[in-house]
Parts: sequence; structure tokens; C-alpha cells
Amino acid sequence: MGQLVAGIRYHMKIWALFAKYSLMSQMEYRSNFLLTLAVESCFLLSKLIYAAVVYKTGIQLGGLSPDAMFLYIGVFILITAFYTGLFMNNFYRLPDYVREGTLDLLITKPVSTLFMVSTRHVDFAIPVPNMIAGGIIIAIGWRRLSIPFDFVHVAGFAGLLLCGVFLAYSLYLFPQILTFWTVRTSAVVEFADKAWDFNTMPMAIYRRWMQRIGTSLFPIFLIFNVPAMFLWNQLTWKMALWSIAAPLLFMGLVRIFWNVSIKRYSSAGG
Amino acid sequence: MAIIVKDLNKQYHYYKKQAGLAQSVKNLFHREKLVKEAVRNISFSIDEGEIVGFLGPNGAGKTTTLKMLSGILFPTGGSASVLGFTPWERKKEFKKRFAIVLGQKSQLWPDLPAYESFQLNKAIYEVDDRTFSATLDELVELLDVKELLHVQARRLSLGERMKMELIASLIHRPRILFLDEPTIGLDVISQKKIREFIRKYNERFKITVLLTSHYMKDIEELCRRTIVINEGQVMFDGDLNRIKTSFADIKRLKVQFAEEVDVERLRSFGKVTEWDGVHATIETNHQDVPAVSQQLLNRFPVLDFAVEEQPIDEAVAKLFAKGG
Repeated sequence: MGQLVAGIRYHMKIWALFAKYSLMSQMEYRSNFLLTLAVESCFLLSKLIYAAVVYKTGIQLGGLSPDAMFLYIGVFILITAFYTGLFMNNFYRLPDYVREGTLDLLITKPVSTLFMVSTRHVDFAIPVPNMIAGGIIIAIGWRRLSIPFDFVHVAGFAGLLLCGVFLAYSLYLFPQILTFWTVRTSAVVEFADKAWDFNTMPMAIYRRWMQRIGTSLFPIFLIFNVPAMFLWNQLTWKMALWSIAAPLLFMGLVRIFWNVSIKRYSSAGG
Repeated sequence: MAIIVKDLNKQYHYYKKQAGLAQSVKNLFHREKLVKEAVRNISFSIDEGEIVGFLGPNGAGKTTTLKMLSGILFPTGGSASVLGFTPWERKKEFKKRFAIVLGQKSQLWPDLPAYESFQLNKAIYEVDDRTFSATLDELVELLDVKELLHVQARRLSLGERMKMELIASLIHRPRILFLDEPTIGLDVISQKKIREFIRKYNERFKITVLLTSHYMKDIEELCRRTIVINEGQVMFDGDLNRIKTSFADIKRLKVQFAEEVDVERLRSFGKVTEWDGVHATIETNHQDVPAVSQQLLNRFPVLDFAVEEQPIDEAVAKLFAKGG
């Protein structure tokens, strides 16, 4: 147990340094940094307008009230912000690392190469406006749905949100690891990115068979729907347990896939 | 022994791709798979504290070998032990005991001062504060870079950057240092400073160094022992000067004549490599030098005469050609 805690502390310390250095590096190019913040805020405005339109029409989608929809949109924006800020850029860089041999030096460090590759760069300009807005939308939805603001609800929601982020990490790392086999991965990655957009609406609007696939084989629906379903009081025990187990299962699978794939690494210019 | 390599080999698979759109379309459906043997059953061992040069032309297999010994690449066959570890098992304890510097790749964060990258390595290698400060002070003094610690890495010259790469690699006090072309692209003065540093650091800390370089000067000045590799095979292992006697025992006679002489007459004394009428350079075997010299002095109006060693890089080039 002590070893596990020490391991977590060690990795968190390195991650904190990655975040600090990423922020420092991004602020070096202040015009670009500020411009990205501004552009992202504009994108966010369009998302807020969309949320407002959904809300004002008062239409019930998949049996969900406008307030519940509003909360779901907040969850979608917040998890997307975490994913884009913490992992997405790292995942997109992996094919370049493999093609150009940049992985060489990362492999020689006495820390998990997968950890180094997937967390080294933290983006701040893109996710910050989304995090703020997502948080605000969730707060409004929470209040309008009269959900109790107590420890059980806050901790349960935060825990399931965290599970969603880790599930997104595991699922979206898979296609990028294919780079060790195919070098370029853009076709698969584009497919996976399109699948992300299925979550702009709650899974309740989709047919039963799609919901089954999206919560089992390729559980992208779990990422966003479960935290919201918890607050809507629609989460079954079975689904709750699966949404905690799925990130662990897929994290394990992605590690195995990584360990097998990295043996194919042939570096460059050797 | 710090490093023991036995029958190590590495094969790469690649596809034949001929020029033209038609070939690209053909390639879409069928690819002719080829195998390149980058390293072919090489064996050697290196003692602790040795500096060994790894010499060879482009594509000889030097860097591939270095990458297998540092665990970056998995071999196709054979075995290697580095400080008792099998490198490609990539154990954390192993990684903490060696460092690798790749001349064409950087571990520094380009937009930040190099000091920040040292701090990151401190955290990654779990170096305590006191050891970090002491090691950094020593390295900064040896490389004379105190003023550069807080300059962004991307603003450093190539030579300055390489010094910082060396510090970043040595901050955890490794027992083995793999250097792949550490002086590539550097000016003569920077090359000399890097060489001086490697020599001093080896003397002070008895670190084992395996160095690849295209610059003969690096190898000549730093390595008592050189492993020459070509087409994935070890061609020579020993004192660099022995290459001259083992593979190209040739002396060079430089002669200046008082009047123009016929080149055809000179050819009977050896291989004429330069001739302009009054100056000539003749290559001959080491044992023939006294006889050839005497005859030249007797038969021609010689003004000046010198016997020179064949430059080491030419001897090595001949060795490479022999391998190819």
C-alpha cells in the first residue's frame, strides 16, 4: 500500500512539473496563448447558445427535461475540456514521436514511457474557458433540478466524472497506439473523434442496440452519461459498478496493447 | 565487465518502393518485403571506466547497437548485459544507472531555460537536493556554463546546447554514458571543449563511455580502444593506431624535385597519388621505405624529401572499403 502511495506521489510530482513547464512554455508565446483563449471563448459562446436554444425550446429529448439536458451539456463540455487539456495533444503527438524517433529519449527515462508520452504536454488555453463554462452550466442545472448539494452527491458526481476522464484516456489512446503498426493513424483517429460527437446528446435519444454497444463494447456513452445519470437519479447499481470497472479494464487493456506495440518501435535514423 | 555483448543482431523489415505513380498504386496491393541486417552477430565486452570509440560509416550499425544497449530497441537475436541488466527489459534500476546523449535529439524543453529540464530530471531520477546541487555545481564548473543556466534552450548555440544536454544526462551520476555523435555539427572549438569535458569527467568519475562519432579527432583524442563496425559487423577491435599496421601499413613519401620529372618513372617506386611535375607524393609499403628513398635520392634531383604516416582517417576509410 505504501509503495502504491509513493508511486502515485512520484507520478503526480512529475505530472505537476509537466503542467508547470507546459504553462510556462505556452506563455512564452503570449500572443498565441491569449488568441487561443479568445478563440476558444468564442467557440464556447456558440456552445452556450446551443445549450440555451435546447433549453428555451422546452422540448423533451429521450424523456429528459430541458434542465436535465442543460446539466448533461455541462458534463459534456467539462469532460471534453479535461480530455483536450490533459491528453489529446499528447495522443496526437505519438505518431510523430514514432515516425521521427523522438521516443528514444523518453524510453530511457526511469518512469513509465506510457505515462511520459501521454501526459508530457498539458494544454491550458483551450480547456480553461470550457472548464469554467462547463462548471457554471452544471451548477445551474444542478440548482434548477433541485439536486441536494451534499457530500454523497458531490463526491459521487466527482468520482464518476473522474472515471469518465480515465475511460476517455483509455479508449482514445488505443487508436493512437496503432501508430507502432501502421505509422500513420489519421483514418482510425478521425473515426474515433467522430464517435466522440455522438455524445453531444444523451444516449437516451439513440436506439436500444446503439446504447448497448456504446455502453459495453465501445463504451463511449459511459464517459458522459453516467455522471449526469447519477445526478438525475437514473443510474442503476449495475451501470454504476460497470462505469467504475470499465476505466480499470480498458486502462489494463491499453497498457497491454502498449507493451506489445512498443516492442515494434524501430526508432529513426539509426 | 560493464558491458558484455554476445552475437547481438538486429534486422529491420522494409518495403521496396520504386519511383512513379504506377509503382505507388502497385504498392497499395502488393509490397515486396525486404530485410536489412543492421547489426550482424556482433560480440565485444567493455570494462568499467573504459572509453571506447565506435567507428563506422553511415548505416554501419553503430547507433542501432547503442540503442539496443540502452534498451531503446529490441534485438532480433543475441544477448547483452549492461551493468548486469538486460537492457531491453527496461528495468527502472537499469535506467537509473546509465545515460544516453543523442547528438541529433534533445531532451531539453526548448522554450525554457535548461535549468528547468535539470529540475525535471532531478524529479524523474529521484535525486535528492544536496546531490543535485553538488552534481550541478561540478558539471557547470567543468563545462563553464554558469551564465547559460537561465537562458532558454532554443536560444543557445549548438555547442552550448550540447553542454546542457550533457549536464541533463549526468545529473543522476550514471555509471555508463552512451554518446551518439555528441560533436555533430559543432565548430572546432566547441568540439574540443566537449572532448576535454568527456576526458576530464571520465578521469574524475571513472564512468564507462561508449562513443560514436564521425569525427576521427573525437576517437583519436578520447579512446584508447576503438571498435570499427561496418555493414553490421565488427571489423576491428583494439588500439586505433593498430589499424594502420593491421590493414594499411603504408607510408607516404613527399618529394620536391629541382626540375620536372616524368611521372611514369616515379610509378616504379609505388603508387603516385599526387604529381605536378616538380612535386610528387608516392605511397609505398612500410618495409620498402628505406630502399625506395635511397633510389629516389640517387636517381632524381631531389630538393626536399619527407616520409609521412598515412592519416588515420584514410586508413579507416580503406578498412571500410574493404568491409564493403
